[in-house]
Amino acid sequence: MKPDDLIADLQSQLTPVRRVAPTGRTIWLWLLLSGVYVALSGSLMGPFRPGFSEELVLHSRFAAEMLMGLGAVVCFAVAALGTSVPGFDTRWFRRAGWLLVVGWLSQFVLGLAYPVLEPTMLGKRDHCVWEAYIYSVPPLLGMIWLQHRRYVLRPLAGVGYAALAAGILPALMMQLACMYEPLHALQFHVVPALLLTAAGILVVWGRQRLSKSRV
Amino acid sequence: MRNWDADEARWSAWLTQAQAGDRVAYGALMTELAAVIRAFVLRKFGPLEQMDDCVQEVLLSLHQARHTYDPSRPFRPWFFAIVRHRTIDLLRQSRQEAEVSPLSEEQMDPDVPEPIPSIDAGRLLQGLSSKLRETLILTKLMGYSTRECALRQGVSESVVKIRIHRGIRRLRALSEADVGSEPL
Repeated sequence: MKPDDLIADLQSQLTPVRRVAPTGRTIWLWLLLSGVYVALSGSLMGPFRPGFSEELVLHSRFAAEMLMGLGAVVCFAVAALGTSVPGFDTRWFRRAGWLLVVGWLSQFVLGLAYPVLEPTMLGKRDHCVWEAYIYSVPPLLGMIWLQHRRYVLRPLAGVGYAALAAGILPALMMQLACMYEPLHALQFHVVPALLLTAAGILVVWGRQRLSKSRV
Repeated sequence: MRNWDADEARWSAWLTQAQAGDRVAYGALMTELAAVIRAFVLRKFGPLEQMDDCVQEVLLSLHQARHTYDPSRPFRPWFFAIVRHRTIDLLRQSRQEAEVSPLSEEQMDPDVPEPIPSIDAGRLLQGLSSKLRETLILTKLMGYSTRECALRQGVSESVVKIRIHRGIRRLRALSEADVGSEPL
């Protein structure tokens, strides 16, 4: 088959297609729905830590930490969806996302010696680690679904960024809902996000290997 | 010398029409893009042995990704992102196929007698990638139509036709290499 024959073939099969929704609008919609879902699920499972809103206003380092995490979620969400839109330049979002996530994580590490807030058992949730995993799965699947409605150019990067965005969201919510203690936050709120990312990449990599060897 | 601005406006308009199902615009667009892909691949990667395959794979990808083009955004970044990714994928794939080919001289044992032709054909089939091998077995040995094969493999009929074409060409190349390596 020559390229000209292929063109004639494709031409004869051509059907109208519905253009995908604008990327920016889709990302904001995903962020909104995922944020509302995580916050609602978290509040259904138990009350938020008393006084968290005052802590956000009174402790600027705590507010900055939350903003950095939120910024990382936005940047990684753009990077994730951008991998499935050919020609969509996500370079700056990727760079900003990594910078913000490093800044966000460094706050926890720094917090081991100099906590942002006074460590407290107030608001302790018994199953916060499982909540962090479970809450991140629907946003992750939602983003993967959105990617596959487009044209995935870089599947591994796509799922990696999607898992980071989806995993950091519950971790942020837990910073407001669960007890405040940097080591606890690292172990039970942040590690699930990182493990989810690793698992997502591993699953896609495995699928790629499998499909290469099968078909 | 290309007038990229004029190309950009024309291609964007044609693809927008193609998204609405205009076959004439689509045919004109793909014909022009095929030449651009060929020139781009030649300039970036040199004269490839599988140039036709590469052009066809990229055209197929453009077809599959046509719903992702947003007319409010520039055409060329969208187009070249697909060209670049598919070409690199294809080069990587053909390198892997070359690595697993069982017909390298080091692996040949001169004391083993020449296989009979039917076994030889089976051995040659092993030199193909699993995708090409399965397509050829289904269509040429088991008698599946391209439509049935496409349904079974979960791809379009055009992909099956391309795989048959590539598979036969590769078999021919493997067979010629095999004959060339025979002792006189």
